[in-house]
Amino acid sequence: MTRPDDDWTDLTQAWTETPDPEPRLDAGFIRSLRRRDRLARLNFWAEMGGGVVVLGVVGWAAYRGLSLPALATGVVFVLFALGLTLWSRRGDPGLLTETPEAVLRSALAQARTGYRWALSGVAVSLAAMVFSIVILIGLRAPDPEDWRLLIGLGAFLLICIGFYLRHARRCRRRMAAHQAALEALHAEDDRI
Amino acid sequence: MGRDQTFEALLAEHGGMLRRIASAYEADRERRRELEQEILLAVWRALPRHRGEAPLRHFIARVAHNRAVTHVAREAAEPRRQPLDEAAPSDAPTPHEAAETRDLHDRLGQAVRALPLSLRQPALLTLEGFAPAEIADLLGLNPNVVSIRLTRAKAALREALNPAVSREVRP
Repeated sequence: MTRPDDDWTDLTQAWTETPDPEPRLDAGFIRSLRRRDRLARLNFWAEMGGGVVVLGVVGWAAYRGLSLPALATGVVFVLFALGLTLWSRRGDPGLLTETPEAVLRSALAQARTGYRWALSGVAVSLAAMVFSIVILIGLRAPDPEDWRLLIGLGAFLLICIGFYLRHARRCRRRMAAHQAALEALHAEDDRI
Repeated sequence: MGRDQTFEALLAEHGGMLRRIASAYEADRERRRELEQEILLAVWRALPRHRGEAPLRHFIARVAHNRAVTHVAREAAEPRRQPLDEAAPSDAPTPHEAAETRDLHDRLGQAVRALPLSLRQPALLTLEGFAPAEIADLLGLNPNVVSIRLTRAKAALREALNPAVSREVRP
């Protein structure tokens, strides 16, 4: 028997009666879903693939007689970038199908991953600056063209660093919010 | 049946529930549409993992709920430019504002959104017709905890919908 306090029938009825039904989703929606899903996967593989391609270019340059210091710098830079790409994604929770608490913990882990990714981006950008300085002016007498290239590259990397730092700030805010939501989930437990 | 067809059939059958779950977490019309899209994307991605251990409705409610709860946290992290007044009426067009159903539906939506997260989740699932045991399973909670939270949620909703009556029956 249902006690009056447990009877949700009237509320359930009011809740499920939709006064103004929303329009159906258009036909292109599933295509856009598939595209977004694919893009998310592609992002990781593009970063990894890009690293491997650069490694190949360095190998090809070595075959063509690239000097040992330049070769070593290139290899270290690419391995550093690849390593950070993998490191920043460790603990990626993937699809979210567990309990809300598990999901929030996963989201927290994702925000941490994003934060690490941003920090690794800053590190890679700084490493790229060092790399380009070593390659362009450290190993031989630079010409004016080298300086222009270096300034352009430096400006680009500084912009990248700005974006990475902004992303890191956002991730830190998300981490704090997820933590607060986790605490809100348990707020009632404290009273029980 | 292919993934697209399965998804279309799922939307036809459970789209209403997914929209209502989104509405319980977001009052702003535009942001609610975004949340709906996010929920549908999460369902789309999770669908291949449904192995039939639980009914499909149960499975997608879990995915939708979990996606919505992260929306709450994300909104807290990135506050909107204009603060949202939960008590303000919906900005959805209301051609039949005088209609009792519409009014009750709107007030119920506001009352659900005003519930604390820990009460909102079991209340929302109950409103969608899930049994307490299913809710305990979905939320990973002890059935007794669910029962207590539902009692509190019901009292809060009753108070919000009909404060005068609620005060009269209160001991």
